[in-house]
Amino acid sequence: MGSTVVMKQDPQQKKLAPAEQPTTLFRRQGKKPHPSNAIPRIHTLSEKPLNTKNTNLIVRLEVTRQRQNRGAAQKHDHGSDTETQASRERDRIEQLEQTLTRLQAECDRYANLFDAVPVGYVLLDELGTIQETNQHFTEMVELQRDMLIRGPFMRLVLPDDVQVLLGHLRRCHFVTPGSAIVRLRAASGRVFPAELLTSRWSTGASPRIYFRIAVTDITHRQAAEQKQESTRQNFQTLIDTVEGVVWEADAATLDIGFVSQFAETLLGYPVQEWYRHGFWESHVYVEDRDQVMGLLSRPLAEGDELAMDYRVLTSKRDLLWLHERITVRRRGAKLRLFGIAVDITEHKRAEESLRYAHEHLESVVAERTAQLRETVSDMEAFSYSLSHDMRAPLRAMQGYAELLQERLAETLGATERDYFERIRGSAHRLDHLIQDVLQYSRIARAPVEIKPLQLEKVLEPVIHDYPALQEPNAEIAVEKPLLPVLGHEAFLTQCFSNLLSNAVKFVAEGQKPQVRIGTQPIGSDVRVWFQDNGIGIQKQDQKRIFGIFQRLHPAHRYQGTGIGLAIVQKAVERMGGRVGLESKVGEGTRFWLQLPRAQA
Amino acid sequence: MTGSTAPILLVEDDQNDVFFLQYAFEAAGIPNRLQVVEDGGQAVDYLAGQGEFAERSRFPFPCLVLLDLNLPLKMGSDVLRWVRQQPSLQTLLVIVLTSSQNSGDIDEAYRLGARSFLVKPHSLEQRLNMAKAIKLYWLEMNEFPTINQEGQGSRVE
Repeated sequence: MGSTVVMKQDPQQKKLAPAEQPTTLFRRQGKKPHPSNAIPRIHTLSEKPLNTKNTNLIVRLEVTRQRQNRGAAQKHDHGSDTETQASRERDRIEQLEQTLTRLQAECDRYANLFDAVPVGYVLLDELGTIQETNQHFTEMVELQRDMLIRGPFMRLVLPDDVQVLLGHLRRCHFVTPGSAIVRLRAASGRVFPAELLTSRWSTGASPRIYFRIAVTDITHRQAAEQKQESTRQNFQTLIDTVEGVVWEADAATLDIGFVSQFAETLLGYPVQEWYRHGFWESHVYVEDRDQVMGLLSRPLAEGDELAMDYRVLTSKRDLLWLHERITVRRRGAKLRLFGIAVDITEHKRAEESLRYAHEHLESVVAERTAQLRETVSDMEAFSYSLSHDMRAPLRAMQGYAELLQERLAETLGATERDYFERIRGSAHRLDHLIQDVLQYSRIARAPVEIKPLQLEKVLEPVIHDYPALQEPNAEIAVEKPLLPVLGHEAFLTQCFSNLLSNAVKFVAEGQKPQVRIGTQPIGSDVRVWFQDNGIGIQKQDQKRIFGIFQRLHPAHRYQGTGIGLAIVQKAVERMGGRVGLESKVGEGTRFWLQLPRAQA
Repeated sequence: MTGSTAPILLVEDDQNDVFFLQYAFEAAGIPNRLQVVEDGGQAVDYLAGQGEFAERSRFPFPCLVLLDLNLPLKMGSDVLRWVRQQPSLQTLLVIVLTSSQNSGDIDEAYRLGARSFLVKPHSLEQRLNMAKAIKLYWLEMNEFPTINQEGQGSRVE
């Protein structure tokens, strides 16, 4: 307000002092130092504020003083005035002096204000000559006011920016107030960017034109702006290097407000395209569009998070799978969507092939299972045919050998009779072998039915059925009571039968087999042991003895097929237990099997 | 103690087993003729008196059937099943004579109406003992049902 007020000009005044007009606008005009001692300065701002009307008086007052001075000079020349007239004149002058003093004080206040404004101020005439300036500007360019006034403003502008200044002033002259940034050089040589806010000013009657320029040193602002710009650029770079389409849109219209450069990289369309209304929607693959739009057209609220997978059409007419994560945020009255879309085409493809592989695998498994079933049933048929068809010719060989032997009984010598015995013995052994193999395969695949078993009840029929286990052939002692186990009865019967027949078989010649049977608890299991007085088993043989067809002795010494213990091991395994042995050569063997204990 | 002169039908595809049984039957002195058919289909035809066995005078109705289970084409169990379905054959005595000792086979045979289950003996001696037992028990001590003989009689006439 201050400056506008001060600038206000009375048209009357121009007539009186036309040559000095611009400079007389201000108290501190010309090159004369300020007459600060003549008129007391007013430092306080506590007086009643000035209004426009009052300030107009400043000019009038100056004019009056000039007139007075002239009048006084005339009086002096003529020296013929009356005393009354002189006295009245003195009163008037005194009155005027008082008014002048008051007005001078007001004027000072404005000048002070003008200087105190933290913006440089320059008034230029049409030729670019500085007509007025304020303290802030002098400080800015580090030049005394005296050195600035009547000097060209252009002098302060860097040569490179002179055209900018001229263009700016021209624009302000013909068109409209505006701003420009030019670099100014201070007296010390410091160059600084300055923003010029310029408006044209002229009084209605005068053709003269002035430029009022507010000058601001924008060094700090520019630095801040540059910093901001570099931060912005960093963010931009960051967003553009994200391997995903980062975007932001209006939640209601889905109009894109921002989309990262990667959109172009990924999908091929220029980024500008994305800002067209409906562009994105129309490029969502038609099969996925309803689902995607359905998700976005639901009522959304601040903080909502959405996620979806959908396909988009690229500029090359390819389909890409995108995984989209969207956050909903309120911006003013509106909701906006912030999203990032990542290309998951490869992932989807992998998923697809995995699913295919999975399905394929299932069909392969089904196929293989069917094949396996077929194989198993083939095996069963094979076993059946083994037991019948293979044993039948054996029976025939045995039968005919016996028949021949009987027919030729009269004529046979000891040697021939021995041959016949060997034929029968071999056939017998082969038959046993076949039966044991069948037994093994039956144990390996028969269904297992686990239930609590009283061992005495399993053991008794076994001993009863085999004369070799009875007196006087052998001595079997059972340490009763035996602990009950969980097992499959038929399997356990088979195990006991095989273990006992082994126990009584492998004894030194001439020795009566003695077997003790007992049980002992081991954790939650029961160990059933069979202690014999046999020949024992060497350490190195103990491991392989449970293998199928493992025989430690030649057939003529101890008969057997080498399958008995393999059957035991398989049967116990299938019942969920384990087998083992302790033995020393010459001191007998203790075979054991271990099964879960049953509640008594 | 009535005895029967009707033949014994042996359903057996293994010629060796047929030979051994014939040998044992002879050795045991069983007078009844041993009629042999080689598979289940022939057994059915023989019992029904049809096909190549239509002529009852040549192929008289048997007093006893010895049936192997493991037969080509129609299995022994099929024959048993068929017999059960024939109202006129409800009293037919069928004895299974087979190499199988499978408990499933045994139970099934009895369930399907077998009157006895014998496992083929391996030695000459055992075979002879079995033949003697069959002679004593089934042919001499056992009383035959009447229907079979009537049926046989009527067909013979």
